[in-house]
Amino acid sequence: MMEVNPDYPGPKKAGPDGERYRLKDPAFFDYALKYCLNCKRCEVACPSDVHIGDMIQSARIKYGSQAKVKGLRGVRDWALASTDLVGSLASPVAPVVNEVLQLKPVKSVMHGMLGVDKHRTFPEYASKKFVSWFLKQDQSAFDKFVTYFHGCYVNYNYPKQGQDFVKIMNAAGYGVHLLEKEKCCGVALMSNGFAAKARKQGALNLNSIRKAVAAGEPVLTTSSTCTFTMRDEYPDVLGLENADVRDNIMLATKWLYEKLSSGEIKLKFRKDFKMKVVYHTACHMQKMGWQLYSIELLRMIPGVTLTVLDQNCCGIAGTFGFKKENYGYTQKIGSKLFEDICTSNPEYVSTDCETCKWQIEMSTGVPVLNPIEILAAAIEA
Amino acid sequence: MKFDVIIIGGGWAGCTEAEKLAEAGSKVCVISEGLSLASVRYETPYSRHAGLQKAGVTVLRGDRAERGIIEDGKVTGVITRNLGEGEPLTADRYVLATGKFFSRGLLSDKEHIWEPVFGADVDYDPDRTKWFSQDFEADQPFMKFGVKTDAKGHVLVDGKSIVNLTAVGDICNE
Amino acid sequence: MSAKEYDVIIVGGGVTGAATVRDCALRGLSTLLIERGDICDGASGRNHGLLHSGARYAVTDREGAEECIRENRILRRIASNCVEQTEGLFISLPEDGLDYQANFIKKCREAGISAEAIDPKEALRMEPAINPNIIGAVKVPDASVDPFRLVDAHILDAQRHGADILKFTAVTELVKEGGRVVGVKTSKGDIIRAREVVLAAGIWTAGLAQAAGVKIGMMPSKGALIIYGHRVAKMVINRCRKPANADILVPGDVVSVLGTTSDKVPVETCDDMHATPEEVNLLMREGEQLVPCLAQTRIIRAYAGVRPLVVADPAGDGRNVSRGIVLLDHETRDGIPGLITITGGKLTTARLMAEMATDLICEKLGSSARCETANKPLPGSEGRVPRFKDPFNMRAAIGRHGTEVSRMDFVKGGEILCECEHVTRAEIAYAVKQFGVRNISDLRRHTRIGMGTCQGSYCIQKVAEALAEELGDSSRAGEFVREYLQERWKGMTPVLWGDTLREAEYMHKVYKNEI
Repeated sequence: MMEVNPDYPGPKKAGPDGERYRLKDPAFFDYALKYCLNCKRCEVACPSDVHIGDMIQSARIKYGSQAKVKGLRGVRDWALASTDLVGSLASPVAPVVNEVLQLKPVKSVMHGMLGVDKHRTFPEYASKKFVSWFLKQDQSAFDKFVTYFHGCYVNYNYPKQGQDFVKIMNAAGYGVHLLEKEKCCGVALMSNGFAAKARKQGALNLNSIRKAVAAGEPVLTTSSTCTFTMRDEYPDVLGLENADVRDNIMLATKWLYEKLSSGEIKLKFRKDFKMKVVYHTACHMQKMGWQLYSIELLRMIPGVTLTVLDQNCCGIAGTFGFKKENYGYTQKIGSKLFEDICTSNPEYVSTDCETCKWQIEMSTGVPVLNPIEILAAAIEA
Repeated sequence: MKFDVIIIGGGWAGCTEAEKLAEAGSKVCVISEGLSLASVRYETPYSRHAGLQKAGVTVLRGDRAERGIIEDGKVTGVITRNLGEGEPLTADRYVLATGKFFSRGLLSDKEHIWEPVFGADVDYDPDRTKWFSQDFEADQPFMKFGVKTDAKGHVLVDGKSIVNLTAVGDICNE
Repeated sequence: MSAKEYDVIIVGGGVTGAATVRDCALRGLSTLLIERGDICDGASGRNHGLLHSGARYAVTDREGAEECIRENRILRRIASNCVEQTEGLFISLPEDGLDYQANFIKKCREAGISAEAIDPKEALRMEPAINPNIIGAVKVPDASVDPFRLVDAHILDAQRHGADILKFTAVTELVKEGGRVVGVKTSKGDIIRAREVVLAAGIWTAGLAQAAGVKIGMMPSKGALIIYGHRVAKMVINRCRKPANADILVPGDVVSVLGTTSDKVPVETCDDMHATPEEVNLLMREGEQLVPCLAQTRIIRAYAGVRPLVVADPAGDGRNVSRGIVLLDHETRDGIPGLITITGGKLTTARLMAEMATDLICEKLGSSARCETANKPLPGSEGRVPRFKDPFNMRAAIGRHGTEVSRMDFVKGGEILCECEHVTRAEIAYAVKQFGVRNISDLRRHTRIGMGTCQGSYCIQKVAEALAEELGDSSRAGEFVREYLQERWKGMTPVLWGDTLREAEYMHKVYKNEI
């Protein structure tokens, strides 16, 4: 961000340097902190293990409340943050919503009045939610289970990814349960300044997760950002204690890699499968250090030719990139990655983050798959 | 997860070692916590990480080797912060390239200096007033402190050689 | 011989001398201040930066306590940009008991200091970092004061009222004619005449006086302090017990200062004061009692200053040492007219000391001018601070320099050079113009440059280049870097372990081959 936007003071000044001043006087809060993408790459790079990103996030929550955006932009931020509610409203009328959101005049109104950038294509809303599909799936034949945290994107926009997850688990001999109650992990709420609501939803999620863990089931996910939020941002930024269940919340790729490499589960791979893939390490994935599992899992699939891209940010940073005022920055930040992808000339890009997927597809035209989708395509059902 | 060689430290010295090994066909993992000191003077090692990854080297950027497991005079695994106790990384050979104080290859308090991953023997003066010279521009003793190695370059722990652990770069004593 | 004869020459550019030259200038006396180094280079710049409420002295020294609270209120008014109204807490730990606290509150109130007992739980809510075992707390009107800014403000005001300031010039001897002191001889060989000479050189006063045949029994008392990297508490934290070592923690700008010790040292050592590893150990041990998290808080450096304590009885053995204000009229005391000494006292009471000294000067010179220093705001505290459109880069500068920022060119110099302390290029230009800085150490005293967590290792090259440019000789940047690193090194070596050792390796790798 610093390289492309001179208004952003950079992680050192925005984080620890700024914090020394904010401790002196909250008036030292700099509104330019809103430009922090929360990519945590500063934490990855910091030689002193300082939680710079957490410090900036916490400062935004603690001191930035007066900075709440007013007027129509405020409505926009609220709508972008409320993934659950907007998703629920859109799903039943998905074909119409999708059509409307693609219309030029609608896009220009949203661009002008709401400040949603016109270059952006909203991820389409699915007409049938993942949960509605799942409830019709009979999982009673299994004696071992995992619990799936599907997240908003799978539920409202892209049920296929969840369906692929269920396919793999079932093929591996595991049935799937959903959490008793699932709410959005809260990442969009946090970055748009709705910390209290994020905390409430987080507490609700943790409550459900505890029940699943008590029943002896790991809670698996297919989104790196949801996972990172629930594991690390809950305690570090929202102050939600999760130490008792943190180790049980994990990406499906990690769980699968461990079970497959230990021989505990076996999958039958298609013999005719061929795919040229480059892997993009999403920021939160890198912060967790779990790209290792997704990469090794992809390498286990016969027929996959895998190249690991340089670890660069795609620039979108979730809802950040949807805002008109940020569009230019997001494209500049992502340019290195896009160039890297284009020169590699792959059939597919693989990444564990849905917002990276939107950004990469929009900016390079190369289709993006979650490693789970690739695995599901490569196994015999 | 099993590799031929695990290099702890993804700074200048660690990258050089990894490049050599990858070229020779070894399966290499680099654990790179934070930016190294050299990146302040030259450039970040990120461009070298990119090359390493394309050559098939696993680069764990932002992860930290919390502790090495030593059994019968050999390293048998490394526990990292991100992967946790349940997932030790293992290899035939291990290279310590964690640098000195800045990159926390060596830690210190008022009385001691130690190497945190393997507890390797560190060459330093126990009297703290002898760690430095009052003249900033003079040779500073602390800049020479580092881990002890035997004649074959194996790192010493409690005076004994660890046969599959070597050290490169600033972590070495002078 | 200089042709001009001043009404007054003041020797010493610490807070006492600065306050005195201001007072003299405001009363219309032609005044010269001579300082052998830079302004605020001695004990005035090597202390806690505590604006005493007087509470610390209430039990043992009622008069000193009353002086403190009076001056505390005055400085909050006239030096508002130097004072941060933090308030203070006196906390009692189990081993201190509560008997002392009861008497403490009573004595504070007798001295006119508001002292409000606070429930330990409430105190912990106000200051979560303090020792959770506290059994009592008392809130008093202590505050934090930036000594550098305070002294600078006095000097600026004196200059703006016609006083002359001669820095980097030592007084080598007092010139006497017929038993009367008539001026001073300087290290540059000049003789400058004045009707009255005032010694305000802290611990260095005794030597000068002695050469003129006056004996002042002074006892240098060394105080060592530690600077921690950020604020751990919002208020000044004191121990509610008989004053002892390391029992005050002061939030100063963006750091915390812990101190102090009190040890008699030989006069010869006063020119090269530094904290020893033993003092650091003692400070840390005691400081962690006050605020436990100090054990994990980054230490930036350790330093030491010398209190100019005066032995009331010249033949005494130290038992009658006074920390109070000492004003000596050598005409009546020693039969040497033309010479006055003002010493002792505290940072907090410097204005009062100046008033007392200047009253005596006026009496000698037959002037009836009244003291106005208590009512006139100092430069930087004169009314409203100008508003800036996008003030983020200047916010720290505004906090430090108050209304003086109107003399700074942020359009040209808005760039922050020192990231730790948010010091802008404009402040460097200002300091060069207003204070005649020679090097980065001088610049540090007037701007805070390089005082932060990195001790200059990130910014010093940039700063050196900027300073060299301001001084019109860009070839000097390397020399500036060298001087500064050596100076910072002195404060880092007593605490050279952990993070400071990391910073040291960085400093050496980055600068060793370049300087």
